[in-house]
Amino acid sequence: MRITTTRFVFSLVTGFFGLMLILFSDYINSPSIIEAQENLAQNQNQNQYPFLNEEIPDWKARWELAKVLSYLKRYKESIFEYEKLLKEKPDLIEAKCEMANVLFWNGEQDKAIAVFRQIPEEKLDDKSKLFIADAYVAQKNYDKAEPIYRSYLEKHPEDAKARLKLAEMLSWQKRYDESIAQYEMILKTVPNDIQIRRKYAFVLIWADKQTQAAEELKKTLK
Amino acid sequence: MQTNQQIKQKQYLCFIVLLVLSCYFSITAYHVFHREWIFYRKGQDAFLIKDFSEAIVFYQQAIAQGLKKPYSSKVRYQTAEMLSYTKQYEEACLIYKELLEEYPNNRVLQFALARVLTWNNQFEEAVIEYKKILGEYHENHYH
Repeated sequence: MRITTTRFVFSLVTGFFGLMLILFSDYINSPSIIEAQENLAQNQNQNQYPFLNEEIPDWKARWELAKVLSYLKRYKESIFEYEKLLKEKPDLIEAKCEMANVLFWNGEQDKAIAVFRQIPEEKLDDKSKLFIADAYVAQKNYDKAEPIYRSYLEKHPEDAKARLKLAEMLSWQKRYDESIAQYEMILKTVPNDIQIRRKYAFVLIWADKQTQAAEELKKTLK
Repeated sequence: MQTNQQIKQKQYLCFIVLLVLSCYFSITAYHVFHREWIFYRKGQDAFLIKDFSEAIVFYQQAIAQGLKKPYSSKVRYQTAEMLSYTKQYEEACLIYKELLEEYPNNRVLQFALARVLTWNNQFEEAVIEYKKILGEYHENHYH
């Protein structure tokens, strides 16, 4: 077949076009180009840390520091950090609750209650309410603690720890029958807990139910 | 003897074939010469559907294939995040510390490292990192 000049030129042009298309496809598919355009549109500085544009404000770091210090039982330092945090962010209810808890663990029940009182009751979660009740018990303010425990147990009847606190408090108030009723409910959920059964046995002794107490104590010695 | 129309049809056919071939070769060439980006995109897709184990594997392959900065840094950061989501805290800490050597005093990295140290119960180290973020860490007086 005779190759004419036209055909030759046409083939050359087509081949050249094909090659350009390959190179151009490679170029426009490059993600670095796409992302550079995106970053330009978003006005980001490509030379800094394009993947780390998030800001970490001081108060966030301080909050986490306060929590970690409490895990380490460095309560005074933790309280100090919480106080600094709440100066900057006084509306952080969660942080206030946490600080109140730390005050409680540090033996400052009065201050803990004072902080909890600053928080509107509807914003307190159940865990914080329990802490308030524990603080009242530590102050021997049983009348204030009891309604909080009972209200909590209505919502969380399976919480053996909270029920135990109520049972113990009732026994300290010499309300042995009520305390025994609570212990019996607890032992239905955790029948193998030796320590709870022993505490139950002691309450039975104080309530003058020695025979029953002896049986319960025998169960703990098996 | 071919008519003009037949010649034109052949020319158009050649053009279409060349076009198709160029598209095919460009895609193939991309897969061959830019494998790191293929793995990067696959990693991103897996990350978006929260298939973290898969995403970590793809990202590691992207880095092994030579993914360049700053994308490799982004990938390593996301890998560290995913390792922490899957409770592989030691590995996550290592990556954050490596990134901090390249980007010292970066608060985001320090914060992420501090959180992972906390989750790994390394509270003393976490306290140090938080104090660094706040500019309150003094090495000589810490203990």
